[in-house]
Amino acid sequence: MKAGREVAMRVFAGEYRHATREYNDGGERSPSFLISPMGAKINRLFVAGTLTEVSTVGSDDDPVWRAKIVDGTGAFFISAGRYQPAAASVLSQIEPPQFVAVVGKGRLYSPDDSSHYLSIRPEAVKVIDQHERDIWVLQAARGLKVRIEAFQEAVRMETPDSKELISLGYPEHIAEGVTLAYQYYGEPDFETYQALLIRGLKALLPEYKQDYELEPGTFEEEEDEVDEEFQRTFLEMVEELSTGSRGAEISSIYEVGKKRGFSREDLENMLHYLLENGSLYEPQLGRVKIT
Amino acid sequence: MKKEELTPHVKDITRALENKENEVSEEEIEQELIEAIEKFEMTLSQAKRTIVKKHGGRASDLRTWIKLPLSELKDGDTGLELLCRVVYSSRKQIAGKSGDTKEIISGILGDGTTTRPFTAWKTTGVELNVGEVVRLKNAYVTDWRGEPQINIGDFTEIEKADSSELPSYSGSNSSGAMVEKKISEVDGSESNLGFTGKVLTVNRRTIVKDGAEKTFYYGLIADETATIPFSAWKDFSLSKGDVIRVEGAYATLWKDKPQINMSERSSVRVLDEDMQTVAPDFSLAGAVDSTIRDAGKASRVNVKGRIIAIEEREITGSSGTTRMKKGLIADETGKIGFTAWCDFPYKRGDALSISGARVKPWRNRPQLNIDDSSQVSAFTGELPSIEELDRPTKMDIDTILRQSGVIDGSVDGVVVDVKNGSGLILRCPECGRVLQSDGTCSTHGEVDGVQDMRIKCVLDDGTGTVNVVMDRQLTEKILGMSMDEAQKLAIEKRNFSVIQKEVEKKLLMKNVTIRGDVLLDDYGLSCYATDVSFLEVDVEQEARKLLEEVEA
Repeated sequence: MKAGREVAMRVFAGEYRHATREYNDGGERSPSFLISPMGAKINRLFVAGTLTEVSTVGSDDDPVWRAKIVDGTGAFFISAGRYQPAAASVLSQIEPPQFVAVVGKGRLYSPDDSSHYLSIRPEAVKVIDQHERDIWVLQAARGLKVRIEAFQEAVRMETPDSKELISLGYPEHIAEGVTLAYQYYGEPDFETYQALLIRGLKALLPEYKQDYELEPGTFEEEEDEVDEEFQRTFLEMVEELSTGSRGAEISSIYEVGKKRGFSREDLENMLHYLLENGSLYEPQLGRVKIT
Repeated sequence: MKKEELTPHVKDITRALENKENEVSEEEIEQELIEAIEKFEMTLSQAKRTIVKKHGGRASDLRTWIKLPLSELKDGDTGLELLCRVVYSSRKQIAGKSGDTKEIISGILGDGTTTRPFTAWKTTGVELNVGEVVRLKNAYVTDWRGEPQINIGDFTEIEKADSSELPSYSGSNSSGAMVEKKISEVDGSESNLGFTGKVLTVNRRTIVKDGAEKTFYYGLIADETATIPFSAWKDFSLSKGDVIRVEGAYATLWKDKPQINMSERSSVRVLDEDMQTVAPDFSLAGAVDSTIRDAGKASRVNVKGRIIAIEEREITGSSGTTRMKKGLIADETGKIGFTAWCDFPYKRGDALSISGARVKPWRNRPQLNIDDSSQVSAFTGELPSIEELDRPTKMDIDTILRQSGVIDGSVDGVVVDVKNGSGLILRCPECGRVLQSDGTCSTHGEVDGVQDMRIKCVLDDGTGTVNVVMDRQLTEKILGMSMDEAQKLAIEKRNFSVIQKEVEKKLLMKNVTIRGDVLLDDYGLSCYATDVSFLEVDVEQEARKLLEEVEA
């Protein structure tokens, strides 16, 4: 008797981006999971939000569609090529901004110990309406709330133990996710995730909506406030570090950028931004090149 | 005692005294023997020993065993020859005097006059199998709990006898050794018990013992004082509700509780009368009081619930056609399927108290089996109305998985996948299976396919997934078009898969509620939906509620 197909986790982008550890129980056909610091054990995801950008990379014969979906707490990156025909077909016809829902598998790319790129390989993408998106936010909030509570129980235990969490009534995948997260990351920053949860819920309520807008457009403006000075410096750095036609190593960009006084987070965000707006592309894993 | 019967014993005493100085004549010995028995009320055994000793002989030289029926055994009898049947026998270890252990065999012997407990103090080479008729020579009797007990000692010979040697027993001849008791007084030590009671339940079970099939019967009997389990190795044609007069039964302890056993030497008569009994105690049959939700945790339960569905079925098996009833019963905790193999004159809406129902798995879900070993009566206590109970049980998928499925469940979730083979399909007219992509049936080859519609999809609620199948009717409901319309559309577009695309448009990523039995198999949970509807969520209200909880 099996539990069947892997459940699709509803996780906010603000949490997913920190799911930088992979777990596999070592079984012959066991699936792999990404573990978030708040205990989400992710193989498959179900996410919804505003699709703000879509672009193609790769050749005309073998195009890969990339899209960015924002949920008010951060962004999800999805890419679909010939092995995801259903999703690619939807993405090729979509005109942002649109509310979309995506079901897919979590993907972590770590070119080195300190760089982590999280994306989703979509199995299905569909345009939805705002009400459906709102239901997703509610579900994601509910899921996060349960995990925060489970984690709070876990840290009260001498040794966090999934069996004990299950006996307290938590579903198995939450109990296991929380226990693994504790092993990998230690005690989480509860306040940050509590804030994420409250932010998600307030965006659904008219009395707070002005402060926590999730609509397409308004969010875009926020995102567009990019420090042009930093952008120029970044691109110069890429040029400097490029060797021949192969572009610059991402890890050395981070290294050099750090020496010049930029935080790791800012560097990562800028890299994503420039990749998304097409100023940079990745000729090979772990390297970027100016287009 | 007749004079002729004494003659062999007179000769035995004479022989035992053969080499003594003072010869005693057979006539003298006969006189003394008669006097001892008649005047001094000695048993033959005591009398023989007394006379041998009086003349300077040894009792151990006596060789002619005294044949007695078990009902006439008295404490102190020795040198007995007993023809009896082993009613019950078991080997056990007892603590010896110096702390070591010693093996003995103890059990019950019977001969048609009564049953008596026995102990065999030697076990090497001794076989006393239940049902066998044996002849014991030189056995002796001691007192055990105020009753004669047969002892098989080092000098006792055991001979196997033919079972025809033992006349069959007729209970009415039962001797005074039988004790009459109320069921509450039975303590498990009775070897010859008489009582009157009412059969509450009776079950039949055939087991293979020593290569042979044996059938035994067991169940519960009650009188006005208590309920007690019984077992019978003989078919007394007992039926539930019979009031019976039993004589010559014996009692034993089973898991520290007394139990009545009826053997070939018991007489059982069905009385033509009814009897008031105590409230039956089905816990004696291992039944525990349970809610319907938790029924699967026990093998026998007492539950209270209301019938929400019932239908009659005819089942044709190897042993002919049986009529039975099948349905669903519910209380406020859930629903459970049941089958009734006995008289079950109830209808939808009836509130019942079912005692001693057996719980058996059916498609990985527990089901109640109600038969003559169960007791069903109308329940007059509080139960929700049929309308309230006839709602599906709302659950999240993780909970359903943990309890291996749910009967008539309701699950909210998102359709995360619509499988190929949804929409318009062709079925084999013979077997109903969906035709392969080349239009043939895997069993019946080339056939004229019958048009049908269905949806196969995956429902995911964030705690787990269920494979859902929806039939034509539900597919029409989702599509908002009839099968004829769907067919027209497919022909117009020259593509049957256009209907699957329509299903995806309507269903994929949507929040829906499905209703149906959710069952667990090797591929996970699956559900043939009986209903589906799009979920309505009051986002603001629920967000506000959640926010309050978080900020609290």
